[in-house]
Amino acid sequence: MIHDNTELPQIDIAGIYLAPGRRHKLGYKKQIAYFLPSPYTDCTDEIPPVMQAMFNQYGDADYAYSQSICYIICTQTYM
Amino acid sequence: MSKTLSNGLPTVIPTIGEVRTSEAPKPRRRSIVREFALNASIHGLLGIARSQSKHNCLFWTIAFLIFTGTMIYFVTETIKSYFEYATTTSVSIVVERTQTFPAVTFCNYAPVRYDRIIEPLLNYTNSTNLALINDSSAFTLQQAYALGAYLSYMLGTNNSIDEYYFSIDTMLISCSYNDQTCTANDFSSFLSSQHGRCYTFNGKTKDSNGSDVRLTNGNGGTGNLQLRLYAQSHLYVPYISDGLFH
Repeated sequence: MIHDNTELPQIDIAGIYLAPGRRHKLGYKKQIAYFLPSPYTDCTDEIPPVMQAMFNQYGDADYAYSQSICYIICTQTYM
Repeated sequence: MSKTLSNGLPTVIPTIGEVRTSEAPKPRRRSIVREFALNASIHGLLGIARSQSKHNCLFWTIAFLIFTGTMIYFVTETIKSYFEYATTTSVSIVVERTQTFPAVTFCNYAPVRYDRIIEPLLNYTNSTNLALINDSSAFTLQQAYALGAYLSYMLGTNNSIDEYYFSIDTMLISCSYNDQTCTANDFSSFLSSQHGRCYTFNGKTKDSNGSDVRLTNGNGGTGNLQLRLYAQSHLYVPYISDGLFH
């Protein structure tokens, strides 16, 4: 899986399978979209404590806020 | 009206009231409106009030109504467009000669090694009677399903299950970034519930504050990471993992 340097790899979801005994070439393309914070939108990049607790399982990696991880944490917390 | 006033108020006031009523002609309200129309800075009303003929009055009335309507239309349109909270999107193209190389994460398709897990797993299934085995030589589907229970039991009792995972030392045959050799130390690891231990190359770390994140043009290259990995698919647990590399 190829991901951003500050992006937690959700390899179960976004990973790709490679067959053994073959040569695979993976290209990538990066697109950045900046969303303005409050009061323009409801967007946030603050890491809540639950997400920080999850990041602590990833060694000394310095991962940034992710909306999809926020959804996963909410799903696991309330379901 | 003057009577009600004189009833409720001291005796001096009624005289003033009488003076007023005598001064004001009968259509008092109309004169107030007329005076307002003549003095107001609204030209339409002024025109209506000043008009001598019916045609003139009609013209001014129609003109006044039309342009008042137009004004109300534009004012409401302006207010409506304000409450739509229109946004602005600014698009800019920036040339970045040096860009950071992305992070690359790989894990083995199989979470655990069969050769390491089989013995403790069998002990566990026998001790808990999760799967009774008649033939000790064959690994059954039931035992494979007990794998998850065994791993969660080990984690729940604070035992290390690290030795069951595929280690990067056995998986990584060779690694090069922009033709420069990289080793297992260049990877950071984490646990995945589906694929065991996973290894990340070029992730941002806390200590360095991003200074050790590789650039695509590092070492004069074009951002080229080459990994040769050994899947060890003969060590996959039957029923759980079938030969694929992740």
